[in-house]
Amino acid sequence: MGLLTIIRKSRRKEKEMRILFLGLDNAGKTTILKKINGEDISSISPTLGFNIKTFVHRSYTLNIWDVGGQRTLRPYWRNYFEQTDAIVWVVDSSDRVRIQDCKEELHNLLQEDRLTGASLLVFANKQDIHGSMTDKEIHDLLGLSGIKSHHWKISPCSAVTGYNLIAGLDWVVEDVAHRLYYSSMVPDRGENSLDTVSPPPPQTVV
Amino acid sequence: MSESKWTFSQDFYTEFHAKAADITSRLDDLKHGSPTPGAVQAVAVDVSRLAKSLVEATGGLPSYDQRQCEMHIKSLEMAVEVLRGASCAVPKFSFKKKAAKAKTDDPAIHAVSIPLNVSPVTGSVKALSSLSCRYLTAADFEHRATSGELTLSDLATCIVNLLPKDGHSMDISAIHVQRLTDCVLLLPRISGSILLHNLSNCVLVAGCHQFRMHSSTNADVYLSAVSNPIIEHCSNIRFAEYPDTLMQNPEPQGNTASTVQDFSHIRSTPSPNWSVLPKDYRQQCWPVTPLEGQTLLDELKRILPGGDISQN
Ligand SMILES: Nc1nc2c(ncn2[C@@H]2O[C@H](COP(=O)(O)OP(=O)(O)O)[C@@H](O)[C@H]2O)c(=O)[nH]1
Ligand SMILES: [Mg+2]
Repeated sequence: MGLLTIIRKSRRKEKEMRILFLGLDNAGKTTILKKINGEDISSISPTLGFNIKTFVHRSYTLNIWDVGGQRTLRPYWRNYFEQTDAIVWVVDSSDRVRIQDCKEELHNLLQEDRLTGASLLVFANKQDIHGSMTDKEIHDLLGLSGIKSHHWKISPCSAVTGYNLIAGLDWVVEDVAHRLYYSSMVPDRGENSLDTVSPPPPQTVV
Repeated sequence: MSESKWTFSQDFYTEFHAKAADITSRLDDLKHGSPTPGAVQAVAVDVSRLAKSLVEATGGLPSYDQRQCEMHIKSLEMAVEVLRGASCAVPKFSFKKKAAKAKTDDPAIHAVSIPLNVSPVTGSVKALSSLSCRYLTAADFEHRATSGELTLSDLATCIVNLLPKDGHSMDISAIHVQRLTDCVLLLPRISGSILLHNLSNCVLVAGCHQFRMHSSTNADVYLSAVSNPIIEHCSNIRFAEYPDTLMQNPEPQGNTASTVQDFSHIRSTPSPNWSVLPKDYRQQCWPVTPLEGQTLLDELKRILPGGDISQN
């Protein structure tokens, strides 16, 4: 048994999930995370590199990676792909200017082999801004209905008011949990999900 | 500079601007009518003639003026390119409507705003694009939506004044600024972010929640930001506080200048790419009323950092 497998097994046992927050710069990724954590959001600065947040939600430990979204950092996103259970793609619903850019980056991302099978939540953020695009509009503009490779869902939300943030996170956790911990019929994640079907051998020491 | 050279540059400058103004108004007409490829081509020929005369004048002009003229040519060329696209493609929007609107506008401040990329998205995007030698205000926007984001792109030698006038303020969620050269921007304080790319030799007055500046050089930024302003791939950026005289309602502001983060310089040593603008160099007098022609250029010369930075 390789080291990775052992790590995976232990991770599964502890009911952990690894979630990647991605999206263009200024979408509100950091603000959403801080809001969910009950932190002050009034003076958040742009993210240099990345932040990691770990907290327990619905009895799962979530390891959330919040990676900076400016153009120069996007090539580095791939460094964070390994072992990702879910992607939360945050969209600034008031940013019509860059919605095409946003679409392209999302579709590029979904082609990554290492993200195969990861659940995808699209947060249509900043719904509190008057005149911002609705989740329906963003669904169409991002071409979400064309996505067959991933389980996905789009949720309107606002990091400022907190609207729908927890509900969105609930969907992510349920979708991942369903696949990793309860699915026993049709493994859709290749060897990973097979790992979770059989209980870890008792002699495994980490 | 010798007497004769001085006279030559004066004459050239006057003639250049007269010709450029003529081309601009023809571009304006084409844009508001339905441009045929032939008509666009005729203007294109004149633009390249003007460009050629500038090349021939090289050496006879002060370098600053030379640069201004080059920029002016560039923006005219860009406007022609856009029209070329519009004259071939089926127009996505009605030019007629705009022609009607143009008549009601004050011609002195009406802008040749030609959207560079006609995006498929409709809605509240306010844009000013591909302009030079203008004094621009909120009245120059194509879309007069009451709220939304604002885009300023491909501007050269312009003063953009969006400060609230007579209590009328625009409800702006974010400001995107791209490819500006030799411009002064007077922006109101907004609750969202300002994102800037590719500015050179500009002066910016802005208030925002987040300030994100990329790939820019030689800019003076008078800023009030709630969070740490960031720069990336920038050089020669000087920061100062938002000027008291332009303050809309006195609010406590962060001590912006000391908290700038340079994403290209992730070390404990101070970043060489920005500095605090020394008090003595800060502008006291801002161009808050419309200017045109030579007065506009003189005012830009007075305010822009290039006046004392790039003397090549
Ligand atoms: N009005 C509004 N502003 C938001 C919302 N979420 C984030 N912002 C603002 O958007 C800007 C960028 O937020 P940030 O979290 O740094 O974006 P990130 O680059 O995706 O991490 C900040 O000025 C936030 O205050 C929201 O839901 N509504
Ligand atoms: Mg961030």
